[in-house]
Amino acid sequence: MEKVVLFGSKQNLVGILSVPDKKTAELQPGILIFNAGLIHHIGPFRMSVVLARSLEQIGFPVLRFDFSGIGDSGKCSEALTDEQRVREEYRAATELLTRYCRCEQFILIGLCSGADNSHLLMKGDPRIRGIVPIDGYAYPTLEFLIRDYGPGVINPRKWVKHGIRLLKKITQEGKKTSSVADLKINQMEIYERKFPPKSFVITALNERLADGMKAFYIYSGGIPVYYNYTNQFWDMFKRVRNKTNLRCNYYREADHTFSDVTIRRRLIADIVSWCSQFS
Amino acid sequence: MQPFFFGSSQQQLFGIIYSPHLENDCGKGIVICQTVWQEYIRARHATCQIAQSLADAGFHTILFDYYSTGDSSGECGEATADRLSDDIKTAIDELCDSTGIVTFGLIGIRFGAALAARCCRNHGLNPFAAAFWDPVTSGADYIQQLKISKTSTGPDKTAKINSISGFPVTPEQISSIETVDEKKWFIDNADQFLALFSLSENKKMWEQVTSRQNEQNTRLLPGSDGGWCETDASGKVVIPKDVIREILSYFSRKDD
Repeated sequence: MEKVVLFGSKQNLVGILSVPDKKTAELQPGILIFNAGLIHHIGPFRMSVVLARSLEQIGFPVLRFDFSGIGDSGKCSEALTDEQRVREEYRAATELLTRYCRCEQFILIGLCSGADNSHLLMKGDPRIRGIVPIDGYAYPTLEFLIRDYGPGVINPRKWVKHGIRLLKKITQEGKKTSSVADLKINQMEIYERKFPPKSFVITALNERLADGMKAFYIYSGGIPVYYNYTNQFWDMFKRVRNKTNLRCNYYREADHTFSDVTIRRRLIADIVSWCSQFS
Repeated sequence: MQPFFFGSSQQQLFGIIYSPHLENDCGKGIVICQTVWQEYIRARHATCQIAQSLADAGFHTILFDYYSTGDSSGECGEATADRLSDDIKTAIDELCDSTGIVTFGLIGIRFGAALAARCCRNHGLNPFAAAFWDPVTSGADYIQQLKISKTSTGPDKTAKINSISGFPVTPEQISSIETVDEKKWFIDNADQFLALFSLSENKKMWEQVTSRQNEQNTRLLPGSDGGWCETDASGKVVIPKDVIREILSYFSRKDD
């Protein structure tokens, strides 16, 4: 069963709460599905809706919602930093899941900025028992660099192409038109991803994995600027302990938003299967 | 702003009603008929802004998801064109029942314009005003446009699943959409509504269909960020301030 919810301290956050019919749902972790970039809570290609309904079918309460200023949710009226705002709205979301479904533990799922938010939040909340960051943080390894730069080094045409691109960038700097500026959402900043130092992420992961949290990292082939081979995750996070609580899938043929229906269905099935270990 | 489910309990539709403040309530409503598939996602933030702006101007406004889209029930590919068009009537009835208004206007975005026209024709509706944004008049032309757009994935490589711009579709759904042809309705009623275009090729196509050029109630407002169907890494959205301003101005004038 799905319920529309309006929550948050200003009642400005819109979400859909999926409540399973089974009584045992009261003991399940609640699942939160975060916004992917600026796309509202249905997710790219309605992915979050299908995922939420699939998880509900196996007994999980799920909340998909919009952070303030995104999708259907109203803007945040307080002067908070982005991190403060995310933490506050996450707190409201978990309170809602606790109130409606008696959830005491949570699993966070997010793509792109949603992955970043799940990383941010996992550090401070021991109730988070699982995270599924999709196209989350990634860091270069030797093999990544060889795969990224290698073809260019041995192909002179790539040097010419890079040179032309650099020249265009230099000559077109400052020629942005006001119509492009108009496309910003009422002066709201377009989300820019900044990865924290790898050591921060490793430290946080080590702490949380040690207390039993599990993580399912997913990468697509749509982010070759920072992830470009299957085992990159294990190579970049060599210093992470408790790897038995870690899983990683690389969907090389997928783009960043999983626009291919077949691959997207496989992604959803894999996430549902991974989550089923918590029930 | 009040989000809620409405319609039949077995096939509920998701909607949001944006209500005006009491002191500037003009007693009229507006139903926003969204487009579909990737275009719907691209325009979602703009439609929310349009709805809020209209409410601030005094109109009770409903924004809703058709069956099998957005948060409404149903799976992608299930809904036929008739079902989508009938959902508009359901939304109109819901807005009138919830707010007490009897006079309503329509906004049709892309294929939502054709669906709105079909709804008016099928149910004998007479909105007090209507605004259309890059309107599609023919389902067959629309499907053709989408199939050749750069983000159309076509049949998935690994299985026999048809899809259009990343959304699974069924042959029945496509056939029903291809039968939508509201050119005559748009030609007959061209004087009655506002037509806005973000892309000049859409305006040219419109002028060919309606055989009218440089009409007072037709505007080209370029500046949108690329095509309607594009997907990109950051999920950039279409927020054309000029379009929102024109729509607001148009309905405010019609209310006077």
